[in-house]
Amino acid sequence: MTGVKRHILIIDDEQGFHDLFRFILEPLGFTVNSAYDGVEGLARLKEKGYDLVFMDVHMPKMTGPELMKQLMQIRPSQPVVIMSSGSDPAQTFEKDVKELGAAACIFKPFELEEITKNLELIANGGRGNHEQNNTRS
Amino acid sequence: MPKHAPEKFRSLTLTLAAAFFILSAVVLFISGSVQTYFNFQAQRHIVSARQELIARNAGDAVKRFVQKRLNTLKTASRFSGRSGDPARQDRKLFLENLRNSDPAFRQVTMVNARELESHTSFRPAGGPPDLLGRQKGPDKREMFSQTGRGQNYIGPLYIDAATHEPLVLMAVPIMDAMENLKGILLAEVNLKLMQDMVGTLKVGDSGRSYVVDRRGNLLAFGDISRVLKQENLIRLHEVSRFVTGGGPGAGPVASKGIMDTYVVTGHAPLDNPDWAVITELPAMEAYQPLIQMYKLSALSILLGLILAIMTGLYLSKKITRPLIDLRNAAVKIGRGELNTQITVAAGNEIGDLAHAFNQMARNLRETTTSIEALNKEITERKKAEGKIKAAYAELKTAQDRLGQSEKMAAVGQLAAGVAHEMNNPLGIILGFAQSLVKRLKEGEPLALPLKTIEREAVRCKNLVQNLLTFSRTQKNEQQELLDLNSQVESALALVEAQTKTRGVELIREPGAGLPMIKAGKIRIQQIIINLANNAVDAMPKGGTLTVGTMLSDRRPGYVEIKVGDTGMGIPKELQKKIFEPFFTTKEVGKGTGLGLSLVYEIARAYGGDIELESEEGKGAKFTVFLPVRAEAAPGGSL
Repeated sequence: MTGVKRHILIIDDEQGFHDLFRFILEPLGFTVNSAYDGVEGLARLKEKGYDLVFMDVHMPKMTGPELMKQLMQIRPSQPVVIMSSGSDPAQTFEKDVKELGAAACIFKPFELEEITKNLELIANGGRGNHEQNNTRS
Repeated sequence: MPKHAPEKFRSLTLTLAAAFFILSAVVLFISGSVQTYFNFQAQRHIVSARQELIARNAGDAVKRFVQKRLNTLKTASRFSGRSGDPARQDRKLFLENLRNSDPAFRQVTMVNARELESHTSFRPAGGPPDLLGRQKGPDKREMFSQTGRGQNYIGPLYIDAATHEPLVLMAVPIMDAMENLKGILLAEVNLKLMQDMVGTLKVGDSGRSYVVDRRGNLLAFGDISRVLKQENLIRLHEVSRFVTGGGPGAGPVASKGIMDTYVVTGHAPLDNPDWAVITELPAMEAYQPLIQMYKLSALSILLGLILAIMTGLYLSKKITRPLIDLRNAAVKIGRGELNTQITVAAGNEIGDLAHAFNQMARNLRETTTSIEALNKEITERKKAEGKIKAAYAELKTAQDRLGQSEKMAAVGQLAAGVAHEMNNPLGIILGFAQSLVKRLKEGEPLALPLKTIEREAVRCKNLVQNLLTFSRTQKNEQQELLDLNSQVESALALVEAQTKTRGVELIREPGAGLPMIKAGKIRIQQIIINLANNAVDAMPKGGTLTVGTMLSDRRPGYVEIKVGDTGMGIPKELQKKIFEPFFTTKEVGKGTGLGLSLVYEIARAYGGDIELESEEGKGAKFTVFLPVRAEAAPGGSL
């Protein structure tokens, strides 16, 4: 990790997740920003891009996929990890959100490793084929 | 003839006829016998009586013959006695006249009572020898004794050797006026005349008669030669009867006669002379009427018997005819011709029987009709019952399935509803727990509780996961052509970590040449993972887990996935329940009760099935059948 502060945006309506991400990520040197619904999340993302966004699916005002669609129009290279609270054995959901532009999809309740593994997206510059991610930060 | 009891069939007609015949025969025989017996007895008496009568008649003739000579002699003796003592010359003339008065007299002699040797005889010249000289001593004494008492004497038969004439001596006493014995008048009587008379005496058609004296000597008989032989006939029954003094009466049925043939005899004693006339009639002739009667009797019995047979046959036919009609009708009814009726006009018991039979047949017909109707109804009811049962079974199955599906749907709804709500808190708990655990150093007092929180959160996560998976099995999902063996291999890769730590040996038995199946990848893997996990849980002390695939022999068009273990096995009573959702034998908190039911649901959803073979203590083998949906693919390996 470099000395540069990395900014991570958590968009979720559950306070617990915000706390959890802070608990996990801040010791690792990340700045954790919070948005509590889709509209707020979109407003934040309109302001600026983040090194990584963890986005819930079911949220008040605007769902995760809706937010993704709008986000991809303004920041197509924003790395986003979708956090689903359902399960997806047929992997259709994962496929759908990836098509919407998500870098990864994890399912709640996720394990610690899944978070840390996705943090590598930052090092790798988000989705492997997104060059912009490296240039910005 | 209808066959029934094992005994021989005996025609009632013939039996009745035979009975009638036997009865008639017995009656006829008895009456014939009795009649014959009494007839015989009567006839015998008649025959005997007739013989006696004939004998008496003959006896009278003989008696007359003798009496006539005796009377002649008596008259002469009386005349001689009263006339005092005539001169020798006169006496001679007297005797000559006497001799000539009767051709039966051969010679006559007069004996003086005082001088017995002094006698006068008259014999024709060249005639027979001297009368007295021919008499035997005892006979002579008897003669003198009898005449001395004033009685007549008739001597025994003797034969003139020269002339072959049968002769007897007759003597009468000569009395004077004072009734004193003066002398004896003797005459030698030729029995030839009597002989002729007896010989011509008619006894029946072929009977004979003869005369015997008290000693049984034959005196007269048709065959003179036998008389001349001086035969004694005491051996003959009738003669001996006379000799021994037996009176006349019925003798034996027949006895040997003079000609040595069987005869019926009779005799008449003459008293004076002490002779008897015996008559014989051949038994055949004597009993001729009886024999005739017997013949007639036999003929009538024969006729009676023939009549009895005919009447018996007629009567028994008449009696059994309605019975045979009845039988024939019964046989017809037995064959099922229930409309059979008998027409018996007889106003007797058989007629009644026929009416009763007809009534019975009618009742039977009605009963049969109602039974048939009942049977039909029963059959229909049974059919309906079968249909109902089948329908019920179908309904039950449908209901069971529905119940299962409802359960699944409820579980799905619940799971779906709960999952989202659960996943968030679970995610937070798990996340904190894991990050805390990561920061802990070994030996810290919070390590155990935090690790426990983490572990239990993971368990919750798995449970929710299962619930969600379960809720989604009924939803349509993407299916693709899969190589079963490679799916099994993928799934087993996930199981292998667990088998190694639990001391379970994993054996792969991939089938070769399996066709591709069309299904969801995850589903197939879920089947294998769930079955494998279940198997591993069943072997807490280790064992062997065998996972294989094959083209089904038992169900063409299906492939089989076999998962076997060497664990504790599943009791029979639980085998049906293990596929029900939430059924688990594991301790509370160890199993969700969804694993096997999920496998079941997946298999059913693909039109497949699942089978369980298990014995307690001997492990369990699950076989999942999945239909083949595509052409066979080149055989792969796990």
